Amino acid sequence: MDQAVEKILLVVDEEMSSLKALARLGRQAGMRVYGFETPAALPAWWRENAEKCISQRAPVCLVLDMKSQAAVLASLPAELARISPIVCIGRDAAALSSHQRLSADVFAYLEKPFSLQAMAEVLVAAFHEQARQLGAQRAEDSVRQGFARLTRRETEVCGLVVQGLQNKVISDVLGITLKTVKAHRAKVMAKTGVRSLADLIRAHDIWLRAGEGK
Amino acid sequence: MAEEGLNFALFPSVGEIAQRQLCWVKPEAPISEAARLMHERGVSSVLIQRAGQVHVFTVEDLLHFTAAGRDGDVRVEGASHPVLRIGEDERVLAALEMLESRHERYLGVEDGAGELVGVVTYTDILASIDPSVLVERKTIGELIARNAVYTFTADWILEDVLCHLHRLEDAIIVVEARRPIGILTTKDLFRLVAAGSPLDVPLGSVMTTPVAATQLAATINEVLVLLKARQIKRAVVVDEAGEVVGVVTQSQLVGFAYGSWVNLIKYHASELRELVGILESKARAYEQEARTDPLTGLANRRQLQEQGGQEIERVRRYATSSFSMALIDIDFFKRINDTYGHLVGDRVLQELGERVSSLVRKTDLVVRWGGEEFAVLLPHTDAHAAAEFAERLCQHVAATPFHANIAVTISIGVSVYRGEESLQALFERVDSALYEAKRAGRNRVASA
Repeated sequence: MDQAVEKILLVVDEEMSSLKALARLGRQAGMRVYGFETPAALPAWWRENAEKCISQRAPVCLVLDMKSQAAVLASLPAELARISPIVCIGRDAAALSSHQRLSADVFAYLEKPFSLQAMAEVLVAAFHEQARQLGAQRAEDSVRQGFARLTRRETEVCGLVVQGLQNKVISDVLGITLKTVKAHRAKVMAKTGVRSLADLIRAHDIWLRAGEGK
Repeated sequence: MAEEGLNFALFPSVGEIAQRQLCWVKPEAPISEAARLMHERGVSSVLIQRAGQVHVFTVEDLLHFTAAGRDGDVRVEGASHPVLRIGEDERVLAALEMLESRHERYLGVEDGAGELVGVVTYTDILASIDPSVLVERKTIGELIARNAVYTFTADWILEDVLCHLHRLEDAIIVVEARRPIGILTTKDLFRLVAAGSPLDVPLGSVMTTPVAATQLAATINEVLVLLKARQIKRAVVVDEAGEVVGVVTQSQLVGFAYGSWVNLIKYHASELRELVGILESKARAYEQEARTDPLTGLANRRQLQEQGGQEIERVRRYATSSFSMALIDIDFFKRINDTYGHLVGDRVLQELGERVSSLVRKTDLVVRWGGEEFAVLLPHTDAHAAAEFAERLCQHVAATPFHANIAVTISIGVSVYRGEESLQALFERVDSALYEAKRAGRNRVASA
């Protein structure tokens, strides 16, 4: 894993105290923290750093004041938006809770005043989620690459195998010999890098969900 | 009475401000028709006679109904509710209290016969009362409605939150589960900085605790009293659950209350003068009551003690001529009471009081000592002159019959104040002289 890559925490809040406290918190946890009082400075920051974050697969989390969230998301590169958890903060409890009902892509809400301990725990969970997202993305990538290498006939055989058909039945369905079915099947396992039928079924599922199965 | 007039000026009666054109609709009329009628007549409610009860359908009901996306063809009776009623002679404050306690906005106004004669709305009432009169009723909740407050938990680092302390009146409230546990003011920060204390410490280690908290429902006056008693400048305001909702400072409160007083004085100067006049005359009456005997209107013992003390003081300080005291008792007063009744007895007491008063100098003090006993304080009077006065009084009373031709005699003990003794000692000597006069056969004077 890319343990060496530094975690990046972006904070946007008009309350200077939040920026300072999170910078302190992040420092203690070995993160690199960037604080912004308004979302206006963010597009420039992305232009300079987004490329690097994406290529290095840097774990990025965002802590955003509820008021600035929309503006931040508008400038956030899509590739990062997909995998970067957002922690939403604010002082207006009522507004925060109605906001919570409206936006599903926020990882967590913390109402001010939150304790530093609570924030630290949320950040750990957020980076954990980020790693999970990143891992899932990697798995998906490798599955997609594997399936892309299959021939048309191998793809056909794979589709029948994951339906649970026996080799004999497959040979009847496709009108090929049992030996050929076995050979295709071995190729499928090798190219997708799976070791068992169960793994193959799971990978096939991911491949289908990624929208490239048909 | 004057007090009535005062009330009138500050708070009109409900009848005075009621809308008297009542707008009735049939219970089966559709809501759309009620709405049209309200619009045409420029009123905010219509009335419906329903099952012997008066119901009201208001603009608010209409909006609520419309917001629910319902059909205007529905009968108006389905969306109406019974209207609260109040007598037209009631003051608007009573109406206000009624509406606030029931969370209503409309009241039916009825005359003495219970006949509905008008409608009064919450808005009508507020408009009729000078806002300054409402100060006493204003609560903290209304004052802090727009006040932002910075709260943090105790683990936040002082250095990080300094940015919220700009002005002298700023403060940071430290909370735990939203309840206030400490406070840090700009002044506290100054103190820490001046002392060179480290600032990278948790708020919990530098906050002031406990915090003076006040309820949202507290009145401005109550909070001012609290701040004064604790000698602090601000109070944290909490809601029913004890959770922080804001901060009020003394200057805010004073400014608010003072501003209201200024307005009150500006617009109601004559009423205030009247009110002050009433209070003063009442105070004078109380003062008088505390110092006089209700039956005879003479001074009471308390006054005698006071003036006797002053006389002693005067004699000691200036070594002027001394003063004397006479103690008078009606002979066989019990017999008068038993023969003629207590009313006549009282009359005799009053008459004796008048006679004694008519025979003394302006500077002398006549006192009802209690029961059938009277006392006279005689400034600048030596023993001889005092005895002479007592003798004259004794003879005058015996010579002139009282009311209903009742013969009354009195016995008198008299003595002069001897320097250095107490007032109590003088009383005792005069009392024993009186006893002497009684024992010697009454209707006479004895000196001590």
